[in-house]
Amino acid sequence: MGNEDFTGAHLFQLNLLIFLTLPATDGKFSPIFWESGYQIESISPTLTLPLPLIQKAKENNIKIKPAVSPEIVFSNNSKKLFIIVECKKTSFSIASSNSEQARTYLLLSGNLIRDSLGKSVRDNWGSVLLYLVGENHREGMIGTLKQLSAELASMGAFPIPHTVLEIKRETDGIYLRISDEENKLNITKVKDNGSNKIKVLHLEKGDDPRPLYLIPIDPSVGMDSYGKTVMEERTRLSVASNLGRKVGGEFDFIIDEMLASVISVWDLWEDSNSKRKIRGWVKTYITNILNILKSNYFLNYQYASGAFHIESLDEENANKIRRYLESADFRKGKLELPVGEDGQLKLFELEGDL
Amino acid sequence: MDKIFKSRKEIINYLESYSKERKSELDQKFLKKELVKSYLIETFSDQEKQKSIQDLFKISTWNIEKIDEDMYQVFDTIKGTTVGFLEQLFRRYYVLYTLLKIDEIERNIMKIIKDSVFLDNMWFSGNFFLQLLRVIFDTVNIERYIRLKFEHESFFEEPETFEKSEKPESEEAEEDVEYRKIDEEELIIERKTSSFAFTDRIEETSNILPELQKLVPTFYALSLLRYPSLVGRGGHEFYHFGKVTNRSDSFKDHRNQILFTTRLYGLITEYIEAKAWFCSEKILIGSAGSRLVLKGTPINISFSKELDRRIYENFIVKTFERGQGPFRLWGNPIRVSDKTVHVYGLDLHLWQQIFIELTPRRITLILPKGTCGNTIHRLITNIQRFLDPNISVTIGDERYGDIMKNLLQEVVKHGE
Repeated sequence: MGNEDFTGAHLFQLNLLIFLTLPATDGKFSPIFWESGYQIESISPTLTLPLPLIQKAKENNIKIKPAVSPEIVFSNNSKKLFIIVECKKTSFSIASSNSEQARTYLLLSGNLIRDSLGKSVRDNWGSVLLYLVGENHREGMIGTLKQLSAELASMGAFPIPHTVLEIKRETDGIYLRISDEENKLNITKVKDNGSNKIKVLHLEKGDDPRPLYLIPIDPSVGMDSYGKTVMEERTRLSVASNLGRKVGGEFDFIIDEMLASVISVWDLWEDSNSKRKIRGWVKTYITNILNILKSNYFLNYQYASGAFHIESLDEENANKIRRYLESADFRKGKLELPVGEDGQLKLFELEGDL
Repeated sequence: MDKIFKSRKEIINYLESYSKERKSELDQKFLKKELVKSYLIETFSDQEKQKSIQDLFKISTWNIEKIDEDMYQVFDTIKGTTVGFLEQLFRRYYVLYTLLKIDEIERNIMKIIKDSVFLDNMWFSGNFFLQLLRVIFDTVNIERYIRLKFEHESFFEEPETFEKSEKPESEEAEEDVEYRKIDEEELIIERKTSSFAFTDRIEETSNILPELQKLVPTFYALSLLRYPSLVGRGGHEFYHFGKVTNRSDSFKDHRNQILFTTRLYGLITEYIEAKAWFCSEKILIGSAGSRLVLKGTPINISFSKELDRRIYENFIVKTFERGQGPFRLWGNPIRVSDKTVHVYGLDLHLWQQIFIELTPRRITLILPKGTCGNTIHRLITNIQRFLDPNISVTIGDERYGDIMKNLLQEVVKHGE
């Protein structure tokens, strides 16, 4: 892996944002969203507009989408504020197809989000739209959002406040530049320091900015090579962990439970299409490994309803399986399975669906 | 066949009078029999149902006979002799009290633990001991004597393959002829090691230790701490790998000190797990129902200074690429940059997952839900022993030392 600039990469941006909501005082991150009272409300939720708004946009010939799935929704429970977060490598103009999505976000009031997410109607919520963009795209993105807001206001709608964070790598870290003079996001560090440039990730010379990915893949936006490597490593690791601990006894190996350890935000992730694809890959991967164990060490299993039922096994073969799982070949993914030129199992080339 | 004990009371009384006799012999510098040694064992906490004690130790050649709900007498099925008494202290923790010689028990028990996927030693890091030491400084009569041992070995200085020997870890073993023979047969590799031990009055120790730590970082890597007995003479030597030797005249006090330490250890382990486990968890929001939230926080271990590049590289190669050394971690190191390495790894001891980011300045850990907090204790203990004695550990936004201080207060508040 080289010293490329990953700041525009979708998965990097997504994982960075997640880390910025996790408590930390002594790591490489400065978790500005956690410090300001935000947490992750949902990942890729589907948010919908009410029919009258859709109709009104249609009457005014303004293109919107009836439903959208932003990357993340943050929430601040004490301020009753949602942030709709969308990551983009570059800005876009109002002529771009991305504008349809942006207009829809701008129409999502806090209470509409509240209702889409199934929260109690007892409280009134506000909302802010946040775009995270790559370096030198801040001005362009602000310009587009201003134009789109004006357009929506002209049809009598009430667009929500918007703001843009520009991500930039410098020699000593990753910075976020906030184009937000009113500090609509209520970021504590901005209030305290009066600066709109915040270092969110500290880097020493030779460090890589990519954190341990909590979301290694997102099929809806494609996959980067690092994310693929991480997904393969973690899937193999999870198989080894489950089998190493439990082999010998009878147990169930539930795919969704395994995926919750492979992808920490699995249960918060609401993109059912992406999740179905991932389940399919993982099911095929595990089946291939279990077939090796079946033919070499007599481990029997059945698959039904998203779970492998593993049968009990004598101690001698169970120990042989543990030794196999500890082997360098298994660790490196050099299995008798579809492999690439580098000898790595190609998880993503496996076919399967659930 | 050895005597079969009928009740807990009989065992405790026997060990109490046995301890008194040994203390008298110690005072006369003529020990006729072995001191009482206790080995603290943690069992793997899974979401599954609790395993029976027979299942937990089935890897051994022991026959475990029940005395009461929590106390067992352990026999060696081959020799027909008593190994010791096993007591379940709390749900996850067991202690084996034994009167056997070190060379008859220590290697055996370490092998059982090493070969088991359900058992682990309790691991007392230098940081854990130093917090306990502060309690001793604050509460025990300053005229009492205390014994401390500090050890640091630059295990990763040399690139050669070198398996850590399976010899007993405790001081007493240094006197053991059989193990000396094994030592002589081992490949001798020179590397920086430092080991200091001293016995002094509590008052002197509390004054001098901060000064020593400023001069030599090894004084942060406390590997043995002798608690003075609270009811009589002598004390209880706690080793970093969960062994406790009774050098006092009271077994009951010995057991009490073990109970206190285990309770605190259990609290901190559960605290780490509750705070650090990454998962989505359902939380109740008053009358409005429930919602899922992302829980978890990274654990950061910062080195006192940037690790020497050679040591850092050897650590990665030996630990992960060759699967050697004391850490027993498994995983493919992914070199994401010149200095940064990611490992999505396994703690091979308990087959549990752990995600690790390494740089020469710090280690960041992510624990997926289910990974035992004991993995963190073992990692911290080994890092202080083999990489850097003076590390700073934070669990999210809290320092490890502060967490311990708060939990100690909780233990005191509840009078336990």
